[in-house]
Amino acid sequence: MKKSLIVSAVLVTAVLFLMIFGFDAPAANAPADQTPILLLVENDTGAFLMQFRQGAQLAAEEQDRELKTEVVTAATLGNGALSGGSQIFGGALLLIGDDGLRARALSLLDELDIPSVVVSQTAAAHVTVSADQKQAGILAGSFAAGYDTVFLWGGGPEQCAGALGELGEATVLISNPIDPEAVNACVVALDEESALALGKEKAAGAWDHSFVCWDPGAEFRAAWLESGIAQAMVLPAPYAMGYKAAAAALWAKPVTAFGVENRLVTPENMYDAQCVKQVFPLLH
Amino acid sequence: MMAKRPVGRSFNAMLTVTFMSCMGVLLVFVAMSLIPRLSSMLESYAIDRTRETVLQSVNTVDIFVDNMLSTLYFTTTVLPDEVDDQAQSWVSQMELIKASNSSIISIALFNEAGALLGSTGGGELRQAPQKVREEEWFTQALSWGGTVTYFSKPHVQHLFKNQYAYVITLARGVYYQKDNRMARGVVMMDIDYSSLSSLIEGISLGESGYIYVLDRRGELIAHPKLQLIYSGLYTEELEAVNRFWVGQGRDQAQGRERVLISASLNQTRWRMVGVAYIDEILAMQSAFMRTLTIVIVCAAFLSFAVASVMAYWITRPIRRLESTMRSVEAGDLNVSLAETGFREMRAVASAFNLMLKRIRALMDQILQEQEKKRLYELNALQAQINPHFLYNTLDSIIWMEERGRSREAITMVSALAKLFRISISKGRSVITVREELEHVRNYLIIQKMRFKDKFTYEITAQEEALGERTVKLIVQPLVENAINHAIDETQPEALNIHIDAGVTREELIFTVADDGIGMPPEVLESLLTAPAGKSGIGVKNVHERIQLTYGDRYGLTVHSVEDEGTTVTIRLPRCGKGEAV
Repeated sequence: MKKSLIVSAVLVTAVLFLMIFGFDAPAANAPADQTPILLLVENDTGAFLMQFRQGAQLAAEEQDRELKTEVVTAATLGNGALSGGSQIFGGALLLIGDDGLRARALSLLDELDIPSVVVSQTAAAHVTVSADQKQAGILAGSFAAGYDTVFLWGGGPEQCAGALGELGEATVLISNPIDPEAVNACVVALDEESALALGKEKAAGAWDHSFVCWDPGAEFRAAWLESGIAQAMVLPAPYAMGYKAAAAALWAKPVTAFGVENRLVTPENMYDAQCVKQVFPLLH
Repeated sequence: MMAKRPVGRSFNAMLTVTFMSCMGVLLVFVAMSLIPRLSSMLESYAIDRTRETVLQSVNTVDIFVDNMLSTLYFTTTVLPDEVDDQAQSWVSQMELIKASNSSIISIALFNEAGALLGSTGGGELRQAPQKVREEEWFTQALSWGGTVTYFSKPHVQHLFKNQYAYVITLARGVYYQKDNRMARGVVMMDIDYSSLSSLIEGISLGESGYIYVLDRRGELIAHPKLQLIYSGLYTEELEAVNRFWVGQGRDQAQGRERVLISASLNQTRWRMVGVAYIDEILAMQSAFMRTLTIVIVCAAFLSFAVASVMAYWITRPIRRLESTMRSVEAGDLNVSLAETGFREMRAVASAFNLMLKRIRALMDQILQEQEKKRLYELNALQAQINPHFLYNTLDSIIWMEERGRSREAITMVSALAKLFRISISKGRSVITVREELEHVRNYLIIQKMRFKDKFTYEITAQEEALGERTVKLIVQPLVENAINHAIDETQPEALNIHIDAGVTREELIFTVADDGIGMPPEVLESLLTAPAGKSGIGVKNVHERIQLTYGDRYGLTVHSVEDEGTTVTIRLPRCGKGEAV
């Protein structure tokens, strides 16, 4: 007869156990991977970085993670450690232009076995996220396609290929001095350096052809479009790049090069909501 | 020795199973009836909560928009009677309004030609009035003539030099006095978009639900992933929500089923759409179901535990009874049940205790009777080997030998030997009537040789009676009693003793009759009941031995008349013929 009392005691104990531990869902008990994402930058300012960080932040939040930004220098990397110390990161984004600094940072991250994504640069055996170069060339080329003569400046092979593919029957003069007398001509600058140089030429009145260029920098975007120096600009999407880079750091297993689409902005659409983050990155 | 294993189901187990079955049926019934209902209610509740959240957000935005519209309307009511090209007094008031409301970026007044008459901040127009007139907000507000307020989509305001703001523009046509003539114009007010978007940002609809805003054409105005949508990294499925416009619907996006709650904003005809994911609603359901399951399991466990304890408690008196009965079965009669607990069990315990008490009494009685019987048999044996009788007999034998009467001595010795042989009877307590009468005859032979002519005797028996069985040595004490007490020494006539054995259909009857002096009534009365030490002990001994052996229906009856004689009748049950045991 004691058996039934023992069974009762065991059952009551089981009930107490269930009441104390049973109501927590397993998912709530399971330690979720909430290691933060590390964003390594050379300096902590700039409109591009602000937009990039906002995009990366959104991707991190979608995964219940935190985004930590760290400014790296040759001195900090020389110590062989990130300022995060022993903290474990779920992934790292490298927005570092300096090749040496970036290589050192990548080496450190590889040693720590932290998945890394290189932004706007190329790095062997690493995931990269950058503006889609070919698509940028296509956008610029499509704008210049209606002109008889196109002066093509700057840009890498992919951009040039993209642009040339769109120009069709137009006369394309690559890196040729711009003839102010050319009729129905368009000047295309496929990189920032060319854009700045050619934009300043046009502002100085050296020629008056239509001008489409790659992003000349935040301070010139609105001004050139409003003043008519540039008739169109191909602007990268740092917000989308940040989102995609953070997502890639967490999810992308194979080494992949992600290209993020750019936008062709003209005086007509520059005030549209779609272009706000690219033309006016500092506006809320 | 191993304990005997109980056979069959225990009452305790049956009670436990019964309680459990009842509780189980109850729990299953409750679960089966509640779970689908609660599940459905929970889903409805979650959707209702989503709808309430959306409607609350709509209400909040409506209040904000109403406030802005009221402010704009107020700006039109405070226009001075005569508006000059600078509209200084009006601008001053607008500056105050702007300062009191951080959501307002700028307020400006334009004439019909698009020329700026006044604005907060004193900004200079970036473009010519002709360009202003081409702006949608201007043309719409002017065409509506002050009855309807224009509400723009979010855009970058670039009217003034070096001033950029991401705003929603409100515009309303106005009439004012200019050079004593009625003129038309437009009041424009820019609202900081972030003031509006902050009202819907951070509203949580489950884990990943959200709210977005559509304009009257069904295009996105606000969305938590608007930049991703503009970048092509995310797509918001608008087909379903544009189909039912306002109300509730469902669609599928990125492989997940969604509930869409759409509500219209009063003034702008924008729509606010809440998106909640079904799997998250169901996750809440499954969390609830998990809780409910645990509660039911706990209830089942508890009910089993309670059933076990209750069954144990209820059956405790029965187990006590069982244990006590086992003790009794093992021979321990000195136990008793506590008369506690339920009324029925108290009654059972009381009856059991009474039964035990009676059994104990009966056992005591049986023991006493057995003891008496043993004592009487011993007495009978002792009586048979009465030392006086033996001494007298042996003395007589010696005397006969001395007188040369060897033949008589041999006869006496022979009779004595037979007497003792039958008395002992190899330890048997029951002998045949034939043996019993032979025993009496031998006794009488001896006594006759001693008492000579003092008595005569006759032994008769039915042939059928001779084979019957009887307790031994029951006739001789009666004969002895007759010889010892019935002979009248004063009379010359010898005492006649007649011994008979006969049977009826059911009884064996011995009769010992004499024609001696008889007994007075008081002696007769006390003959069978006299305490030890009195006369007639042998008779009483015989009577009690018969009654102990065969019951109160049997025994001796004595009929005696003074100076006429005594007849003692022995009644025994017929035990059948056969070898004596």
